[in-house]
Amino acid sequence: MLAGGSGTRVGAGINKAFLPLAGRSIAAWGLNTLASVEGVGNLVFVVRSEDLEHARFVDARETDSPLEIITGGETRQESELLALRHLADRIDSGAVDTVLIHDAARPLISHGLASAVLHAARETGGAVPGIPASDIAAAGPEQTLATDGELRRDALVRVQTPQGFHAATILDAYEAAARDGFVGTDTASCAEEYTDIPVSWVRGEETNFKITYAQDLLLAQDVVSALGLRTR
Amino acid sequence: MSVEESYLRCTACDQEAEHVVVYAGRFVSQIQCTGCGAVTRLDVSEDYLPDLRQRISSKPRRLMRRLRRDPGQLATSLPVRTLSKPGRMAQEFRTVWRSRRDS
Repeated sequence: MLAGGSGTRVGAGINKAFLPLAGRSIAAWGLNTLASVEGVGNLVFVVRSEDLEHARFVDARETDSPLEIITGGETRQESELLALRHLADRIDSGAVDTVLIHDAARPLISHGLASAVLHAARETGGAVPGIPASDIAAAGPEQTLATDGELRRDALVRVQTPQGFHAATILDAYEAAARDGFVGTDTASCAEEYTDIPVSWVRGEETNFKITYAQDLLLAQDVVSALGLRTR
Repeated sequence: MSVEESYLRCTACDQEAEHVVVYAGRFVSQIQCTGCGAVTRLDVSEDYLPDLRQRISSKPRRLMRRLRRDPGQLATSLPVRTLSKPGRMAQEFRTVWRSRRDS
């Protein structure tokens, strides 16, 4: 679970991953859901050094499963690499065969979606949730829509997290990317560049949105109420 | 009532800016962008009482959980938290009432 880059600005208050949402922090919602998925063992929580105290609070008060809290890097990719290195011994020994990498700012990941991604990642080596992006259009010159584009709308998906990968393969990919100085946009982009893993996608969920806008917090609060989700 | 500040994108000015988020109990009742000043208020009064009932009924279980996990921390914080609870609840009720009046 990555909370390293969420709401990172000098002088900002709390990292948005630690904002309360219906009784517990945004990060705790996702952590508890992931912990409840069969096959998920270790939970590695990657945070900024200044957020360590918040992360310990989440571990002590808001989650049932123990967290392994580590400090992340400057970028998302560096944080992912540090998390994978943290698990390296267990990956090498085979104790960890698959990793799921999830944004802390997506609190409403469902148990079913996390299970589906884990299952698909174990089947194919790599899997991400995606939502068909049928409402996307190609922009043309001067604020017109392109008419002669080759854009196949049925071929586009909006990618979410958690993104699941065969652990040893993605660890090697991240080490190679670090050596080359390659910086991808997400886990899947690094996998695409440095592995032969065919990354499959499973249908994502609209409720698995990322808290970006202030109003997303209100939307998430409504979803928690509508779905009858409760803080223990 | 609690107040948190965090960096979020504003729907009004579309800039990333610090936002002040006001909570009434477990509900967000107000969000203000410190960049452009845009304020969103939400009336949480209808949801507040059922949620308060749930908070009260789950309190013993939550206290037991904390006791199991870290009895020392609970022992040191409980007296102060208990004494300050009436004041904090009064502030919470005021925030809920304000959310009803201003929304």
